[in-house]
Amino acid sequence: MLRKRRRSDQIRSLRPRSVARKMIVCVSIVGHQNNPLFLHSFTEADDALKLHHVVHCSLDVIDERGSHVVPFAYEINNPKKTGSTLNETFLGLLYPTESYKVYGYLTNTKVKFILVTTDVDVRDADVRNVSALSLRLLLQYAFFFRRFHSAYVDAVSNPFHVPGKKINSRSFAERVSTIVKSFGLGGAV
Amino acid sequence: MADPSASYLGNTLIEEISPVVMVLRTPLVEDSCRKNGLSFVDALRPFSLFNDIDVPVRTASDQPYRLHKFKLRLHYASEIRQPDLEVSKEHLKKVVTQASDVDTSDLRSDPPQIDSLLKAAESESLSSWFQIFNKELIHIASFSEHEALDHPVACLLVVSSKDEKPINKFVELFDTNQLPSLLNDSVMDPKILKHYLLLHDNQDGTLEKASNILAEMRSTFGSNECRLLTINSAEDGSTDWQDNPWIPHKIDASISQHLGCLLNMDDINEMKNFMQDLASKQIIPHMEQKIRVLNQQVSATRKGFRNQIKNLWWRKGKDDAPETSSGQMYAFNSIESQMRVLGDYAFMLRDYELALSNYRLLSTDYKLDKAWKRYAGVQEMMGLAFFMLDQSKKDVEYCMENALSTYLKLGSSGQQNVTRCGLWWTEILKARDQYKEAAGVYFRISNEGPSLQAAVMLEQASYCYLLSNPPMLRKYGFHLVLAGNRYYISEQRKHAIRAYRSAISVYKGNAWSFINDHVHYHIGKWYSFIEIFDVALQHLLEVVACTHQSVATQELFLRDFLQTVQKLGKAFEVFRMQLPVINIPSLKVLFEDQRTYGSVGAVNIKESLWKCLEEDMIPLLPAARTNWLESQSKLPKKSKDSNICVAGEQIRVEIEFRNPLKIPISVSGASLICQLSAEPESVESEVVNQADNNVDGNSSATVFQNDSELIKLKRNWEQNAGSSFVLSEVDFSLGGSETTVIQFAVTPKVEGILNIVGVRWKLSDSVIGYHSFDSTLLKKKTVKGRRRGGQNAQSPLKFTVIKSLPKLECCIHHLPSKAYAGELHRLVLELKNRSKFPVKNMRMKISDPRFLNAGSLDDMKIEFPICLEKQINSQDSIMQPNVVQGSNGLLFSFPEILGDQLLGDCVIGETTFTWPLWLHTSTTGRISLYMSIYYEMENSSNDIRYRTLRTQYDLEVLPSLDMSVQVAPCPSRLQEFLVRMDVTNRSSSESFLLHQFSSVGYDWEISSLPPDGTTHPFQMLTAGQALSCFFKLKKCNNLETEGMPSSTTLRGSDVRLGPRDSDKALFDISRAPLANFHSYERLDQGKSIQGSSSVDFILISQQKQNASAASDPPRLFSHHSCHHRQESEATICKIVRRDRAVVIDFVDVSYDLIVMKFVSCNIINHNKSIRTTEPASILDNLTKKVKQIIEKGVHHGVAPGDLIVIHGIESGVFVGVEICFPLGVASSPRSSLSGIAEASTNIHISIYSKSSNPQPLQLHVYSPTTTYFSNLSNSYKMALAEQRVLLAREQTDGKGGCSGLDTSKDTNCLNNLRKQTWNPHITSSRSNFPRIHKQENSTT
Repeated sequence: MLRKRRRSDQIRSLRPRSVARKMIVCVSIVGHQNNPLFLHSFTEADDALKLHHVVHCSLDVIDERGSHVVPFAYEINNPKKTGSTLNETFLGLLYPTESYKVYGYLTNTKVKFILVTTDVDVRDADVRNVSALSLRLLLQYAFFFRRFHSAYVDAVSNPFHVPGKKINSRSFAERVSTIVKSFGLGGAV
Repeated sequence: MADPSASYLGNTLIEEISPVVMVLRTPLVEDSCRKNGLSFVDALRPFSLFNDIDVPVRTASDQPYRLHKFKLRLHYASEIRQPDLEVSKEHLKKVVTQASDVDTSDLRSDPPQIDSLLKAAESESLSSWFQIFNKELIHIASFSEHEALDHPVACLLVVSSKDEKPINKFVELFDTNQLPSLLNDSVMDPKILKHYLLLHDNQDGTLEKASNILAEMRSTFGSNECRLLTINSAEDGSTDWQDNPWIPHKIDASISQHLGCLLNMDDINEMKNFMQDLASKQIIPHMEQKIRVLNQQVSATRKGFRNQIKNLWWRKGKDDAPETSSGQMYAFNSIESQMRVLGDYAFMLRDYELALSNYRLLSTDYKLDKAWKRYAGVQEMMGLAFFMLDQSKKDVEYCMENALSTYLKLGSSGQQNVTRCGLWWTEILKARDQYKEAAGVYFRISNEGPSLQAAVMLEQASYCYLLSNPPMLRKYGFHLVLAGNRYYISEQRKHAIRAYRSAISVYKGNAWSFINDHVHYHIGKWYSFIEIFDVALQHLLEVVACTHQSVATQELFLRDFLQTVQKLGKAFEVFRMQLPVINIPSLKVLFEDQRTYGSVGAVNIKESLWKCLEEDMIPLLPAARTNWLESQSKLPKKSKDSNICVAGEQIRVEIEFRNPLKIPISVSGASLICQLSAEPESVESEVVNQADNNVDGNSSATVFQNDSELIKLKRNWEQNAGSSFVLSEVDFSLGGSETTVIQFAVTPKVEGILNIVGVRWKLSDSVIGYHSFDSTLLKKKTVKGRRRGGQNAQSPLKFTVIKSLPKLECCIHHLPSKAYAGELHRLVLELKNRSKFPVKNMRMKISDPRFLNAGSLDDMKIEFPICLEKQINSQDSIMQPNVVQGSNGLLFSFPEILGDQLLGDCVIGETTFTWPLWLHTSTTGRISLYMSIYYEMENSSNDIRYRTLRTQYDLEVLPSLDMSVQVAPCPSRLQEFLVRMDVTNRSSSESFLLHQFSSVGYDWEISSLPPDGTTHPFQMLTAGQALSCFFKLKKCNNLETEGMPSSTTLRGSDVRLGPRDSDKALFDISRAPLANFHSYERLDQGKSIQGSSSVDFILISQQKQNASAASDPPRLFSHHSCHHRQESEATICKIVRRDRAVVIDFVDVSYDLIVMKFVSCNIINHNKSIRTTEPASILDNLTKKVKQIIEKGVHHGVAPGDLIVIHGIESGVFVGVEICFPLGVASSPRSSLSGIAEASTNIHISIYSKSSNPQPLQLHVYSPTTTYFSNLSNSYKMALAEQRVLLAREQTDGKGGCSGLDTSKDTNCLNNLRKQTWNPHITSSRSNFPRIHKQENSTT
């Protein structure tokens, strides 16, 4: 089943590559007990399970780092980049042959924001020109996460929200979609 | 790090990278060995590994060292080639399948926990078969041409002693045609070390012949190279080896019993010695020597600066040569091949430095030649050499990465080598505790190769994540899932299940429900594939109630679940199944002890309401109550905390079922599980024992043996067959996300203790769900819940069943659910006694008698509504105001004797008994009627003496007619009044026919205004229409009978409405039920005042019938309007006149008099003059009253809108004026006193009939105020000859002002008093003058 999906995803992931330079596949919020609070995928396919797996696995890395540092944004996954300069943020192949990149953001309350993207071209680019491009990208992601975070804060400030429960607010989902859309369009910060 | 050669990898390398010995043998040799169940190579294999030899070796540079551990790899010549891929795949599959057979023995046990997994991983017990598998993978890549590792170092020629011409055989064996391609294709040096072995089978004869042959061999081939080996020396075939040396080397262990059965200790020792000699005396020295030779050659041609320059130069020139990656261009005598051989030999002899230096040289050469496969192979060996030398990590990683990526680039031809190289690398990383990196490498190589291999690789990767520090559990789980998936693809279901099972623990308890569902679902499915259905269902059960999945997924899950259940072939029973979800706190128990319920609605009414209703009824029987309490205490103690129910009567339990899925589910055969036992004490223990027995003994029927709760429930269910009670079965279906309340019933048949234990249902006819009612949950509910507090709050599901009692059932016929306001209905209450025992002492209480009233049996005799009509011969309608007094207002006692029949007997057996009830819907809106019927048992048992039957009905009352009545004194006659009736049809569509208008009051008589005529020709009132009618109200008590003013009889008088020629009978308002309802209306509409001046009106109308509904009896309406007061019995018509406006200037005077003319007119018809007999006293009295009023006002502060009464008098004429101060004007007490006229003189006036008498009226104004006489009324008092004081009051519409100084000159006090008419709004104005009424009453 997974394999079939993988293949179809490969085909699909070929399509947006030419259209959008990077595409946010999925955004997710994970609570401090590593329980999923929010997960929204922006692909048409029924790949929720796969994205769940990807997000779930990336928690391992966050656990590993989160214990000693609160990073403002870091890159987690780049499978093909073994031994490259971004080795420190190397997570390992989260998913076979799938060129996802997973970015994370950790709040003070140990709530994790996880972003899964397919920015294939950028990856190739920042292998070549790491210092300039990746810095710009990181800033871009940091900006995204900050907006995402403020949306989350607003959502949980709702007096009817039960802390630690899933966020079912429709307005929050809409707001996240807007943020994601603006991220895709914005290109550069 | 520890010594690398002591690590697992070091051992593996020693074993795997070791000299290959090619074995050539005759068929007879093989035959001899077959007797032991072994091939020749297999027989020797255990002895080819030397753990404790001690061979001195010298390196190329004459450094001595010793080899302690050594291994020879024996292979037949036919095996020395690259293994066939298909064959090797099969081989791998066999390995995996075998492992699955071993490993899946515990498939039925619970999935492993993380802790145990961690422990197991640390002890590496998991990985035993992985090592075998990995070795097999490495073997697949062996005998490649691009490396010299597997090139045979020596050749062992074996000939049996039975062979004819053994010497010739030896020569024939080394026939080049049959030699492996490696030797023939000039990849390796054909000049190979040969060793000749003569095998002698002791069973075939004596050694002599063999010895001869050996001697011959020695002479032919040289003494050192020949050897004799004797086997099969054991007498019989029954040699049993304690630890058979061959078993570990055989893959299929099934025939292991007979392995080596003909070999005795001597044989084995001989074999051991032979192998050891072969290794230490032949092969190692040979290799050593070869290393020297090759080393010299290499250093001569390649070492040194000059050679390197030359090499570079020479290589460069070769760049143009056609590129052949196959490596065919390197012949065995080329320097590259020789270097490779040198390196490999050195590696085998553990001279890693030498090997490394050669590999280094080679790698540059190969790189320049672009011989990538060879390059990768050399890099691989370099990495291993670095590792064995314990060199820096970086070098190792660099080499391995190089090797791996180069192999990867080669594509399919390098596939096997990728795997091998990756495995080496992972082992290196593992040996250095870099588990995370090892996992990554595993993952990389998992992408190559078939899915089975990938699965094993992924699983190993997952264990690496588990072993990494800190354990990366999520990645572990993820890779296990991936591995399981691959296992499944390669049809290794047991392995797939194992992998997923291990992953469960990672996802368990987390909210990652999508993943969890995926894992559980697939495990369940795979279990059902391998036909372990019970475990499969356990897992499927986890996902079947998933609310978060999409509809399609839910359908899939449910379908698979049900299919699996069907495959199970028997009823599947689940305890606490989540489909549908049972909302335990919603549980309601409905039962009847002394309280019985007639309708469903009645059950849901609060107990307090019933208590309140029955309050009057039950205390009437204090004896019964105390008896009941006593009997309660007499009951066994056990039953004290339980409810009481009656045998044969239903106990109903309501539970809420919720469908968590978005797809509909169907539930059938849902029923309660109960237990009923005669002995209260034995219940609990009995059940427990049964459960215990069941656990110990045969519990084959249930799936979960350990679930004693389920067994308990099941046992209870099975006991139902005893049928001491009857259970209801409910079938229902739930739509997506639907919630329904299901009512279950149990009817105990015998006395005892009944316990409701749980509920049982069947889902889709295949799955049986059980759910027990947890008593702790219920307790909470009951305490705050609606069930009776007090004595039985402890256990709402435990009942004491007492013997059957009579029980009445009631129903009300003809009760409409919708009615119009004012509608009058005759209902029939039907009481049924289903038991044989009679009841007695029946009473009934109705919550609101205004709506519902008990009739009398006579009402039943005549058809409705004719029964209400006036009898022709009836007396002048004298109303009895309290007809219902006999039933004490609300309580109605059924008469004991009913005709000739005793009522108690009537409600006996299965007979019914009817009683009329009257319904009058007096208000609009929703009306709830509560009715409680009390009865006692004839043969009262100890437990319950009486019972009550409670019923409740809801009606919706729609608006119909709206009647309002205004009474005004008739301007022309003294004792007559005008009645204006405004009626509006407020219904939406109905039309009504006005029928009758009646007045009820003391001494009042109503008549239509044109005498003897119909009031209104248009009888019908359509929807929305309004109508006003005028009537004349006359006091029939004339002055002659005034001596007895307080008449006690209420008289009714009627006016027929409608066309003149209507012959419709009038309805009798003086009899029940109209009179009853009227009296209740009176009560409702206000406090009854026992005065002569109050009158009530009743409007009776009928609904306009459609032609279609003509058969129905006409619907009758009555509207009541009560307490119309007529306090002014005016005798005098009067007019106050004032000609001009008066301006009072308070500058000059302190007060002023305003003079008005008061014209009185006697309108009384008879000739009597009105006179005052004792005018002085009356006026004195009056003045006092006035003063009191004023003082009161001062005292309390006159509230805005209050009245101050002012009386003026002038020249013998007394006039009382009431001045109503408008809001806010009388702000200070002083000012309220300001406008007071004073009564000072007695007057005496006589006004003759029909004459008028103008009198001046004087008003004193004391102080300057601005007073608006906007609501000015004046009243006067007149004493009649009969000493009756009548107070008439007149309200002027005029707006007057008495302007003081500060108000300007503009006018006028009382300047526009116009002609006054009698105020038609007398009732409304009445409420404005409450104090006056009091005064008036006291004065009379």
